[in-house]
Amino acid sequence: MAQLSVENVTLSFGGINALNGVDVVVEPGELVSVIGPNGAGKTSLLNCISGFYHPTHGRITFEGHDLTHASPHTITGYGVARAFQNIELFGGVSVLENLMLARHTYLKYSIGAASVFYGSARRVEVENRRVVEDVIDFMELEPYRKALVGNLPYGVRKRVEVARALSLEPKLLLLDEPMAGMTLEEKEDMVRFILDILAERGTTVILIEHDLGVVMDISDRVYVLDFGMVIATGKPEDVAENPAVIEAYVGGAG
Amino acid sequence: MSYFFQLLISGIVVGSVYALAALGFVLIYKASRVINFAHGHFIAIGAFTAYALAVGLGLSVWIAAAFALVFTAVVGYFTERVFLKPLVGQPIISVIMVTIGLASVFGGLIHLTPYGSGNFSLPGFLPEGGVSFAGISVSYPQLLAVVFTAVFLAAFGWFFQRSTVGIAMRAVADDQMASMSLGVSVEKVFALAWAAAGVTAAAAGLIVGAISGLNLEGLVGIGLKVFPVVILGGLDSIPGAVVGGIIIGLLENLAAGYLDAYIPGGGTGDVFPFLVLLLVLWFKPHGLFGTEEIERV
Amino acid sequence: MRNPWTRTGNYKTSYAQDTTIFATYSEQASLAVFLIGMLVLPQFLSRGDMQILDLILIYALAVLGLNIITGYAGLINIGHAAFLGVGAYTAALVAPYLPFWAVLPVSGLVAAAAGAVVGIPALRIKHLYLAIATLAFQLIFEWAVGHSPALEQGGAMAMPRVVFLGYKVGFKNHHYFWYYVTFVVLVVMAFGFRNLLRTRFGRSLVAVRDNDRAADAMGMDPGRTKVFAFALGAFYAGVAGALYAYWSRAVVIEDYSLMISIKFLAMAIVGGLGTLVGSFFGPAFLELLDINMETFSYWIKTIYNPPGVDVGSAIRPLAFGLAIVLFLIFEPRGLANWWRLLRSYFRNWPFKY
Repeated sequence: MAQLSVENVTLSFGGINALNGVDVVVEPGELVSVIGPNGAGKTSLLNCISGFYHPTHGRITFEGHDLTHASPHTITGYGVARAFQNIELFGGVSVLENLMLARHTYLKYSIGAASVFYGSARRVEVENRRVVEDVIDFMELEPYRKALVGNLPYGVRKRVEVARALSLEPKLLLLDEPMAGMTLEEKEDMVRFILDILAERGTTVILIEHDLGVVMDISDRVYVLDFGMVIATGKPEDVAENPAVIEAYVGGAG
Repeated sequence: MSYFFQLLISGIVVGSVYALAALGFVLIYKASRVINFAHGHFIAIGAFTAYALAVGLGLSVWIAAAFALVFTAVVGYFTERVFLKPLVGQPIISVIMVTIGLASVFGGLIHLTPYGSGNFSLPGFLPEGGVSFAGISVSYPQLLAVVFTAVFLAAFGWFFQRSTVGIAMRAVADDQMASMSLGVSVEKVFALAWAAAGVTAAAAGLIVGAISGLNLEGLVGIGLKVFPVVILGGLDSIPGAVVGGIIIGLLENLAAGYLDAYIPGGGTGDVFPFLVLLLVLWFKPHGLFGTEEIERV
Repeated sequence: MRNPWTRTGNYKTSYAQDTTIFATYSEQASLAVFLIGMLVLPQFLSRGDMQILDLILIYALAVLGLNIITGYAGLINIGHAAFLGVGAYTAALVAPYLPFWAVLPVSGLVAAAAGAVVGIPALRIKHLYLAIATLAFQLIFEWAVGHSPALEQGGAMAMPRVVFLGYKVGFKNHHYFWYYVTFVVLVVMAFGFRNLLRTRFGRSLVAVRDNDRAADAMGMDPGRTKVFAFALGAFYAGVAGALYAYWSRAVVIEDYSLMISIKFLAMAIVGGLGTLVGSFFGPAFLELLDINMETFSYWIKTIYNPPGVDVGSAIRPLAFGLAIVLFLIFEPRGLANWWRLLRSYFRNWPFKY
């Protein structure tokens, strides 16, 4: 059975369909990319999966949990994490604290223990710090550990955004344009991180990306959205040949 | 039944004061997203300026009133220039707090004059009595209050729809960046919004002076009653300010008229608007006419 | 070379070490000196001074609560005095039956419940709208107390005299006794909150302040977190309210009015919003300013005192308002920022930064 299934999802805002009967199926361990022109509904799809929007029609399930009407924090609890397109970090605290915030649901101790910072509170904090340090190491963020996120350069903040999602130890990771606005070098780093996430952590990844070169190189399968509808799906090389896709990207004669 | 109509009329009169007060409050919010906690003090400054000129200097009430409108506008203008301008781009709490601080400063300054405590009444400038039909009577000051408010609102409406400044103000309220790129001076518009708010606040103060006595606490209290009005009408809606003002005025009077008898100590009219406020916030947070903000991820 | 006295010579070798609050010996030593200093301070002060010092400490506890709600969680609260009021009236009602050390937590818990109720609108509304809701709650609270015969319609409700371990607290030792009680409560509760700050409870407050959608995506329920912030802050306020009731010997509605709520906000801002030390600096600064302005207005009266003008009630709000406005314009991060600069100078010594 598929890990994530989006069945016939429609999302309307005041009569306009941002998504129109979209079907998406993702198997465990896959890297699935979603591409399409601006305004095609890519981010809307991620918003529906992660619970920020609720579909008008259709159904979304993840490992047997119904996500259709669930709230973002419930969905996060099922093991779905998301890195946002327009960096949504906690600007007033350090990188370390941003990542520790992602461990929120793993930190199980009482308010009593927390107020004296002794026993379980201290032990659990230290254990989770270790998990977070692994992620810092993995994403090569060591120099910025204690830096305020608000003061970091754009490329680093993008990386923190992914690191924070990773700190949730998700089964499914949703990456919304993690490379947008990056330099070539930063992009190459990010691609390497994504491939490592798949290889070392076995996390399923859904990637939204505009750089078709990257998408075609690393994806297992690709979905192409246009005007809220899936116009093509399949292996990267098949999709690239698809006339409908070329039409959407290059534009038809009419 | 005539009791009900009497309450209705006094409700509309009080409501027009609220509408005027709320109008200025909404103007400021619409233009610059600032919540003005010193609005009640603007009302007091307008009212006491007129009183000082009419009683202290013996000017005609009409001239004193005209001067008060201008003076309060100047106070509004400089308030924005001096105190609000340095805080553009600061968090909401800073902006709220600066108006709270200013309220305290204005309160202190008024206390330096003899108007800080006690009751004052503008000299009567209207004939005694009023019109009455079917057992319901409306005094001339009450009539004047409603007519004056209507005229004032109409003038403001015209100003907003037609004049260049009015159109610039609406443009800034709609989209600051776009207006700036079209050459509208956003700074000027902010200051003008505050000046306009000063005028309407002073007008509200004058009407209070015409229909009842003046005292600092009461006038400042109107600044608090503005909150239920604007929440009901919608924080950024000018028609909302008017409709909300009338509705809150009516509800307040009807609540006081019918519920006070059952509540030891009475004073239902003072708390009722705030209960309405909470209900509106829960069920329709953007009020009757306010625009809903949409959050994007 | 390892030198545990300064940060520059202090290496951390475990994650647990990295969670400590007072990391260097010099920081630990200055804390100890400060605490001992505060304990012996009453020896050198008159009863009048003690009265002011007590008030500052009680307000510090209240402002700490407000900082939890407004400074850390970013929820503007214009009704904080009402939370103190709930604590104080609870104290007035239960004090005849309970010892004072049991009254304090009971008052705190009742206020926390009130805080949770006031926090409920946070499930649906944000920012300004929420601030206006807290204002409404403040006014409704005042009205409700003013119409409750059981609460003397807001008039004075006397607090019983306290006997502690056979020690009768009377006129002469009143302010000294309550100084020590308040001091101990304040230190314990301030450390408690400082500890919460390095756990998920404290971090979640900051998360909903900085970005509540991202907080949602991190698996925490932003609505519940906000209600929790209100309840926790109100708990602090409730305990402060009970202390205030004992300290002032009676509960009167004027002590818990909108004006006082505004005063707390001003104290939080002047001290430095969202900082622990600011909760102490703010009340100290504004209370001392107020007292000096009272003296100042006596002096003003000798040169300006026309009939019908009460100079005292003019100068004090004037100075209070100016303090708020000037701080917001020139030092929006408050006195805590000066403290931070001073501290980092000493901490990083011998390096400049």
